[in-house]
Amino acid sequence: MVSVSKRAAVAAVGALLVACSAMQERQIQAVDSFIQQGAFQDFALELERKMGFAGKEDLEPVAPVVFMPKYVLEHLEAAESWRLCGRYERSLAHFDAADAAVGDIQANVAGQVASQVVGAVATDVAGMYVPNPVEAIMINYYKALLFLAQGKPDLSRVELNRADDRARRTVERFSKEIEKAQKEADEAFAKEQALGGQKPQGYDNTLQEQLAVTSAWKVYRDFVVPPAVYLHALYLAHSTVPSDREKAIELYERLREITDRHLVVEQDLADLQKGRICPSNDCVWVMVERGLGPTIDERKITLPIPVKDTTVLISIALPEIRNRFEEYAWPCSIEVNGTSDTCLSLAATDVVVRTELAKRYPGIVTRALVSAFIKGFVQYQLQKEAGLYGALAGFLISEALTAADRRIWRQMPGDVALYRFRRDPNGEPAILRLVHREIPLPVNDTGGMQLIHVKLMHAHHEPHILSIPLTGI
Amino acid sequence: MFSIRLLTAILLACFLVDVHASGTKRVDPRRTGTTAVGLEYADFEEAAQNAVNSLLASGALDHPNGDRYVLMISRVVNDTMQRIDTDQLVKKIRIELLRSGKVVVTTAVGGAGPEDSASVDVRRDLRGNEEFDQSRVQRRGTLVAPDYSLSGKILQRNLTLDRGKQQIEYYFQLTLTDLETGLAIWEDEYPIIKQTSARRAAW
Repeated sequence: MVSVSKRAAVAAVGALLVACSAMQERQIQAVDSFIQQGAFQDFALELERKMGFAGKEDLEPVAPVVFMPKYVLEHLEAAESWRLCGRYERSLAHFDAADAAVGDIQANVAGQVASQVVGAVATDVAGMYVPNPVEAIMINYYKALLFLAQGKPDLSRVELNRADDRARRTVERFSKEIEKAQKEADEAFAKEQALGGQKPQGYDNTLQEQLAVTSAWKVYRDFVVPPAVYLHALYLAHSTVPSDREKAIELYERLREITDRHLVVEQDLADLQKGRICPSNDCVWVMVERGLGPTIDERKITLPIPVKDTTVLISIALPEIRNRFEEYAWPCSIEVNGTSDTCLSLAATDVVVRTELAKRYPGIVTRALVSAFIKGFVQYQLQKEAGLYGALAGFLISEALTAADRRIWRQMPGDVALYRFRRDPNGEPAILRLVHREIPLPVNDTGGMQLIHVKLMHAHHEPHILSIPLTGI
Repeated sequence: MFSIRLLTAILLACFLVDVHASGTKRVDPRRTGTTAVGLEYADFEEAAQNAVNSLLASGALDHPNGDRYVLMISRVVNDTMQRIDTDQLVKKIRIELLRSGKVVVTTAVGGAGPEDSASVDVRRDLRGNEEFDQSRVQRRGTLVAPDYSLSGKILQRNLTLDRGKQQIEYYFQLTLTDLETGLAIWEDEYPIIKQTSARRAAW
């Protein structure tokens, strides 16, 4: 009878493991399917229903958006989907909700999620989704774009200031995060009686081996989200407030180092250093968001953990950034004034996300390893007390509880390319050639400076275009 | 019988406590005891009051003939992370300045065009319109040009402190410009400093 219960328990844990993994995979596939089809309205409605803002049969959201921390990722996907449908007010409401939710989560939940090492058995996905800093900054970037397009530059400035502050706080947090993880590790080991309050044998070597992985990653020297910084710099460069010019120069200088002296950044900066941006007052900037941003995969590693007189096998799962964008597959050029020129990449999102992850990685690996070593001891105890089934159950429980958080905002762009040109004096149209598409750009023929923002995630989608006058700032 | 009375009294007490606890109450905006991370009524009130006191004390608005100067409100830039209406600050300053009897404020000219654009349109539209008694329609050249312009900026700076705290600093910066000379004849700055948990977003 006892052995039947043990078998049942082992089978149940095994089933749970398969079910959880399959559910996360199904949810990700469903999101990707909507995006692949370009069915943004359907996707947004589906999310509205999930959050309770629309009924099953409703074809429109029926309730106002209220922020729900547990649906922060849904808020993000809904916001960008509505934006791509041209439903800017609803989009802004969801972006605002996501912004509030990020603040709320950071204040109340992030600390607990980060401290899971103390519990040492919880999986990363068990917690509420805490948006990564790149996502949080992109919320403010999109809101700033929308407010500019709506002729509300004052509100846009507020969002750009928020993005700047988020970047500053992120950089400050990196060093503290590593210290904090180390302290938590020491505390966790000290508490564990089975370990005799000691750091287990083999821990330091394993930690160093895992940290060495990041040396192969392509990352920026500092953490910045270039599209947000560029938009901020461009905004301040066009501002009529005299003190904004200095800040614009500071932001452009920060960008030029990160972006290998991007041609447009260099042009803008040179103009500002001479006095004012585009003195001919006829410039048009084009920001092109191409392709799909990175996803997160799980890198599962099985570690032999030495416990007393034996060795147990324990898995750890670490997040790994998977790039979904290749620049060569997304040729981009702009034809204007009878000439065609390439729009150059300002930043690839996977590099931005990886830069941020690389800074946090020591903390993530430390927590995963501490958790693994402690699980090893739990498994050893089970094996000792319940024999073979105990060992198998322990292994399955450990597997079920070991999963990297693969969630990420899936509508972030693959990269952002940038181009600047002078409006044709004869009013000839400007054409954006993106992959095999020819996209006429809505150049304002009444003069003044202008930003045109284009987003195309799949080549077969209809491009989303925002025309933004850079006047009255 | 006694227990029924006692029970009724307890239920009534519970009901009254509940009504009191869930009811909405008015608060004195200057004495709420707690403060928000963002800018709130008391902050605007304090900044406006300080600005007016400083401006009046500077003597910049003392007209040599005892007349009143005409003031236009230029732009007050919101350079914070808060979605605030800068008119809230400006309005309080205007009210206090008008009360001082030293200035009048024009609504026909402003940093973002006339504040009361309808009044300007009406003058234009009614002039020469046969439906209206032209003797009562404002003539050309009667609008009074401003003597001074009031402009400003509200800044926000966030600093991370030790022990998981952050300091949020707001600076209300105001400038009075003499339109005849283009010189700034009065300037002042009012900081409002708040501290909160570093985990909280500063907005």
